[in-house]
Amino acid sequence: MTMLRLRPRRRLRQWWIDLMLGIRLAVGGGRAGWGRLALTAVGVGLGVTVLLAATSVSHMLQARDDRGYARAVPTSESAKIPGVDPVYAALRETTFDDRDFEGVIVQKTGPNAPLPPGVDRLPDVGEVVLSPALRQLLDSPEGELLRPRFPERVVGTVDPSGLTGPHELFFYVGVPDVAGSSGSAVTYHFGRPSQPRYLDGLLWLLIALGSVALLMPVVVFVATSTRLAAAARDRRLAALRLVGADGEQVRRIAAGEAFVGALVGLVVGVGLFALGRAIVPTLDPPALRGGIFAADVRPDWTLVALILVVVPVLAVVIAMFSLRRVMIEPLGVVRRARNQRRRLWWRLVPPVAGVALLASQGGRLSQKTRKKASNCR
Amino acid sequence: MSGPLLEAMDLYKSFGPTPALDGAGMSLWPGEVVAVMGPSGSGKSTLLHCLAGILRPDSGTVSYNGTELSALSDVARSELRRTEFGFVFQFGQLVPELTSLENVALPLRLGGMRRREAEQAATEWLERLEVADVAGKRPGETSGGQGQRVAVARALVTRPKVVFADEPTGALDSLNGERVMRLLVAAAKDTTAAVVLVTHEARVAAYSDREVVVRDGKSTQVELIP
Amino acid sequence: MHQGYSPKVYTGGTVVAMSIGLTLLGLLETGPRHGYDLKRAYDEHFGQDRPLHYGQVYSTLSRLLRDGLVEVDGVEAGEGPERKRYAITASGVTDVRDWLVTPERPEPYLHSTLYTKVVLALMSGRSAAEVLDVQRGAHLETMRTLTRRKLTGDLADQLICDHALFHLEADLRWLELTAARLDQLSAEVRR
Ligand SMILES: Nc1ncnc2c1ncn2[C@@H]1O[C@H](COP(=O)(O)OP(=O)(O)OP(=O)(O)O)[C@@H](O)[C@H]1O
Ligand SMILES: [Mg+2]
Repeated sequence: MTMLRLRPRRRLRQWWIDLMLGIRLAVGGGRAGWGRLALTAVGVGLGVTVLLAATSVSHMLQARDDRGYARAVPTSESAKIPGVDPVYAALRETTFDDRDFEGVIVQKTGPNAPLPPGVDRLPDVGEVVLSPALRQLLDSPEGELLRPRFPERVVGTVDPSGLTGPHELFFYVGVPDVAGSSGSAVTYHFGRPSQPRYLDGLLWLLIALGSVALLMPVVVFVATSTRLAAAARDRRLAALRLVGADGEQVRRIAAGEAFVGALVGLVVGVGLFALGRAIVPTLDPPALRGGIFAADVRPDWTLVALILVVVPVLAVVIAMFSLRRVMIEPLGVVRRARNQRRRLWWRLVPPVAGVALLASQGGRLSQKTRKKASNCR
Repeated sequence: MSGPLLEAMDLYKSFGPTPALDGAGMSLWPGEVVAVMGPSGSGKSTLLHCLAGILRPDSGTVSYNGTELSALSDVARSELRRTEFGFVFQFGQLVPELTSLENVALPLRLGGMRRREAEQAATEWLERLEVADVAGKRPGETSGGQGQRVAVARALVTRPKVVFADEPTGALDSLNGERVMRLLVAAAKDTTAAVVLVTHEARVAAYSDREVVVRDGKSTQVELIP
Repeated sequence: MHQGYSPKVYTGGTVVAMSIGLTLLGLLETGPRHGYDLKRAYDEHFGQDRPLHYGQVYSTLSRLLRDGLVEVDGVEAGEGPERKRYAITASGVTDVRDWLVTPERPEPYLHSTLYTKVVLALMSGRSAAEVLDVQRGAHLETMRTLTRRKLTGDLADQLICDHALFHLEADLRWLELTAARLDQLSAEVRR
């Protein structure tokens, strides 16, 4: 029986051919094929975008904090720095037309005054340095009523390194009698040591919950489109089995197919993320006063690397795993594992995990709220 | 060769309580065209699937060249389907995402042949089946008759020993049905492939050398050729 | 075997005797011909299996002449009917036209021999299925022969064979249907 003996296969080439075949099945399969690929890519892409955004939150908040601290007026008596003429400075906050303003009133004691970040020259009495957003507001018709409050001569703008966000309304104004006014301090430098964010655990929990909330519809979307495509996939793979693809080959072909979807999804995800990043500076969310600099939205690169590796691998593994339970027969007879019952515990995992996480962080949350409340008073 | 190419004996197969095959059997000799006829639901397709090793009978034996099919691994049976067998069904056996050319080249590619060679062989077969003009079209974009001729080209591209055809003209009008049958039988005779032809149309069965009648899962061989 | 059920009935000549006259008339409509030419033309188009005899041609022509459907168009020197040229008359043309537009009577074969055989087999307790199977085998064998001939023949051959094949197929369908209803039939016969 020579006919039935397997010829020594050029294994590597066969693997390559099978994978390429899978890729071929994923792309250029007519309108339906492209539609399927687009659905997968959009689904995976949205997921990747959410994940990238989630990994960027921490850095974004930290960068804002850091710049806030870097321009802060020290509260305690600061040590004398030789050659620097100290400055009297005090923080001032005000609102106008529902908008929050922040600024520092300064009084120089000599020519060698210390400089806060983003400022070329500290204003003398009768001079003011404005953030770009504030300057724009004052120049616009909207700022008509505001102009009398800033009669001083504008001598400069605060550049982004001295601002927490692009829309922040911030000023430095030279005033004659800062020394006597409330909250003032004499200082040889601006900035306080930046503190690492205190509520890291809670922050992460919120990020995680937010991501899950955003990912849920994405997961539902991907699951639905996968289920819709499953019939077509089974038919396709059955047709391949009929022409003589063995189980291994079908699995490799399915892997190639899934890989393409994930890869295109990654590209879409990165693209959407870049798009979002470009849009972010135009937004002015109330929760993040002053808006967000695009430069601050920077994902954690190690996590990004992880996402880039895990998403395609996961897609391939899922594709192969789902074939393990659904054995495709050459006739399109799909023999399912007897266990058709859907397991309930899978669905219980998210809410239970959520409650558990909340409980673990709950104590800290109330502690912090109290603390913040007392700060405000 | 001394014995039949393919031999099935005492096949029993049921889906649920009622048997689809109830002691059916048949033999196939190299190069002959055998029509399998019988009423609808009598078990013709089931018999064909058992012969091709796609379905495993509940009991009974199917041997190809003396080798028991059920003793073979999935890999070996897949290999058999790819190299020794060809299939033409009523419809639906082509991969909808692939063009006619790619479909015909598929079994060769699955066997590790280089793309250029595989597509060259596929082109030759498409020409032979008079469907070279639809080489770049997907199954959804061809007519039923063209699709069936592409399927015949794919069934024969590996120069198999047996072609299994289950109602190959079932979805076609007389003229296209005749054309498919003419080309199928001519190509099979040229390559000395044997054909198992399941059909309920006498005019299609008339292309055969002899017939096997299946009734209620039992088969009767008319004229056994020694 | 009775003519009505022999597979041969469909292949044995495409023109039955009674329409030979009309066929010749139809041929004459294309222009006057000698009797010899007529026979040649007939054999070429319709006589695949059964060429006409000369005698048949001349007896038919004399009948047509008598009925006023053809006339002698000219006579060449010499003796015998083969020297005459025949042409179609106006009433001949009318007859041909009427014939062409009149449908052939669909033959219902209601009381066929085979039906009789099946009923007799059932009544006498013999195997009616065997009667049907044997007939089925004979039909299919004829169909195989016709198919083979069709594959090698020209277009005319193909069309003629197909005509026969379709008829035989119809018979086979009846055989199959009857086979499927034998139980029912035997119950009725025994009643
Ligand atoms: N996958 C299946 N699951 C359940 N029952 C099946 C399956 N395949 C076939 N059957 C049953 O087995 C019997 C034989 O079916 P089969 O398809 O072999 O008939 P067939 O002779 O090919 O009929 P047809 O001429 O209509 O194609 C039928 O009663 C059918 O319902
Ligand atoms: Mg069937």
